[in-house]
Amino acid sequence: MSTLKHVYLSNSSLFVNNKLVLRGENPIFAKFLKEVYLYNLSRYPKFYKMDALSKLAFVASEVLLKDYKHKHQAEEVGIILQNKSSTIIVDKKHQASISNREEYFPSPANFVYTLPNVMTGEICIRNGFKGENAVFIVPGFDAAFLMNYLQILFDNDKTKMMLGGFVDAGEDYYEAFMFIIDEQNYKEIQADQLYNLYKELKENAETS
Amino acid sequence: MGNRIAITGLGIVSALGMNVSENLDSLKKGISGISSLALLDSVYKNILPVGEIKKTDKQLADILQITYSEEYTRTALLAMIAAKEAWGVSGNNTDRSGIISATTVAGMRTSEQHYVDFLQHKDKSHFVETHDAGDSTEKVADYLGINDFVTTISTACSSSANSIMLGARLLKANKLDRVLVGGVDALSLFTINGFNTLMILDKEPCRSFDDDRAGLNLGEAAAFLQLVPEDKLRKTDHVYGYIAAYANANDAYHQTASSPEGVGATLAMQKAIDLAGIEKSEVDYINAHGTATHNNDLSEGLSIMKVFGDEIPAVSSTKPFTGHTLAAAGAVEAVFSVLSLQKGLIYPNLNFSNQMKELSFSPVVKLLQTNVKYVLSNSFGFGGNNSSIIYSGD
Amino acid sequence: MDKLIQELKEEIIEALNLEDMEIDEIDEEQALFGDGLGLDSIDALELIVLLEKNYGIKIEDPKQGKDIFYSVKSMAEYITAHQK
Repeated sequence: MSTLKHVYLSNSSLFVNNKLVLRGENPIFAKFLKEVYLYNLSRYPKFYKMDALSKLAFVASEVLLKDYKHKHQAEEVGIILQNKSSTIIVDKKHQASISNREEYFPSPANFVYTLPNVMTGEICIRNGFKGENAVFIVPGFDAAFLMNYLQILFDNDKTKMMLGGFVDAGEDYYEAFMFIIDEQNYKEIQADQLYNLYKELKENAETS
Repeated sequence: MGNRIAITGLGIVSALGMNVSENLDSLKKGISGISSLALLDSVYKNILPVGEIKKTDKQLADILQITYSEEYTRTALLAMIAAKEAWGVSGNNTDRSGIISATTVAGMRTSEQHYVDFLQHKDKSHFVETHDAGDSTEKVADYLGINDFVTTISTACSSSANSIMLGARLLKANKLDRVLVGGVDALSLFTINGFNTLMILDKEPCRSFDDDRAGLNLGEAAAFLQLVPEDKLRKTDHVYGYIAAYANANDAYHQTASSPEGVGATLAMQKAIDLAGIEKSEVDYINAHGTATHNNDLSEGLSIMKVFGDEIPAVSSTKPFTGHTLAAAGAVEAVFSVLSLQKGLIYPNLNFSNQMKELSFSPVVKLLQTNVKYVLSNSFGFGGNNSSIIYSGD
Repeated sequence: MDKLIQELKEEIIEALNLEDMEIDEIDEEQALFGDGLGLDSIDALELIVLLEKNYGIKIEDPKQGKDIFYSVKSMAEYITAHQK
């Protein structure tokens, strides 16, 4: 797994390749996201407009892609993510804005984020990725499903480089696990190893 | 080309009619289905024109010869009518058969009527069952006895184009022998109000590719195609046409708007032409997405120019006939494309009068009778989910 | 006017869910759309809702929004001129 670049964010901690690179000062999810954004990423005002889930996926992808050298065209790159809670945080906000007949002001800015695949959209928009992209709702990170899907794409020459992972957020929990896989290393990566890596990172974040 | 995908059944219900022949008749006569909303109680009733099917849910159930009950949403009923026409009466029980349907609003039309009561009155909870996108697909599957593969796609306005693509892929991968593909959307307050807040609904009948276009008209419809790979065709199958190629590409531009230059649309059309193994000059007709919003028609028009250069084939949008039927649009226009091949017809782009300044071409405004071998049909969804499918006659 | 400008900044942050942005991160003369704050057509609709909800001003034609919503300052000027 040494060839796989990965990031993990949870519990106010940011890990890059299993190394703790940022320990958030503020335990609040939103504040931590801004800390990661300001940590060493370039200016992208659209960040502020995103819902919590997109922000989480976005900062994870930015950290992941920063200083990552590759020779692939953006158009050949794709992204497949998994998620458990869909867009529950912004769904509740939207619901609150339409639950009262007298104060009925649904917000387009919220509404456009009430789909989990918007997080992959934001990453594609940021990087110009035009490869295959999808979000699968799963009960928990399913490494076997994800690796099988990614391997099929590589085996059939549908892609050269992919981002993969599990990005999930609810009102009192959040985690993002994201990695880069390409035509060079995809055969070396076994689903059970990937799952063990995820477990290890999760435990590290919980005890950090 | 290997094992080609044949189209062996067509079914449609739209504001133009309750079956294929009624739809074709309206297309030939140039009669639009756009009218005032009659069957839904909206504050925009006499303000925003729509492509409405003038049958109550009870009347739809009567056409299907089933007992009307709250178990069937309007979405499910429309889907069942079109699916039945495309699937035919002959049971295909020996085949591995599947259905891929598409919808965006699903059971919303019913849910929204009970939404306020639901929180207080739990007895309305049975509508929760009919709300999700899979409900109408499952109703069709049960009604026609299709059970080897049942799934539902929701990618906004490219939904049913994508269900056609998925169906063709499953056949090519030999996962199924026969598949029913298409989509459905019923009009609902949700979509009318939603699109209205986006300020993209025209108060007049929509004017696709017109310089003065002011937005789209919403419509409702269901349309399905029956697909069979060529090597599994039966003697009883009638072949209406073939799916020559398809491609889907994204814009990577914005969550809802298409990129002004039509990056994804260009990619999708170009890839489809390449995969079909034809010259772009062989495309006889482009059935455009042509919603009549400022954004779509500009970006689609520019991308057509980019792909076809100086030799732009006949182009028209049939949205002024049917309204924009959202998830059903790709399948509705697939049926129209296949009829175009069969009958040698190119449909007029109704309500057109002023050439768009940015474009080098204008749409076809009169019904043309000509030899049509290849039709390219575009379906572009929110967020730049762009699909192009090429249909061929033989 | 200054009071209105401060108020508008707060309202824009709330309406557009720019929740982690601070008031002084918005310059009242800076362009809201494009390169400035990076707003887009969906946000323009949100600002139309904001004017209706908080100031009772209704905008029928979204094309009008381009000038009104150029900056926080131009919004404040429009509100001052049109509020009943």
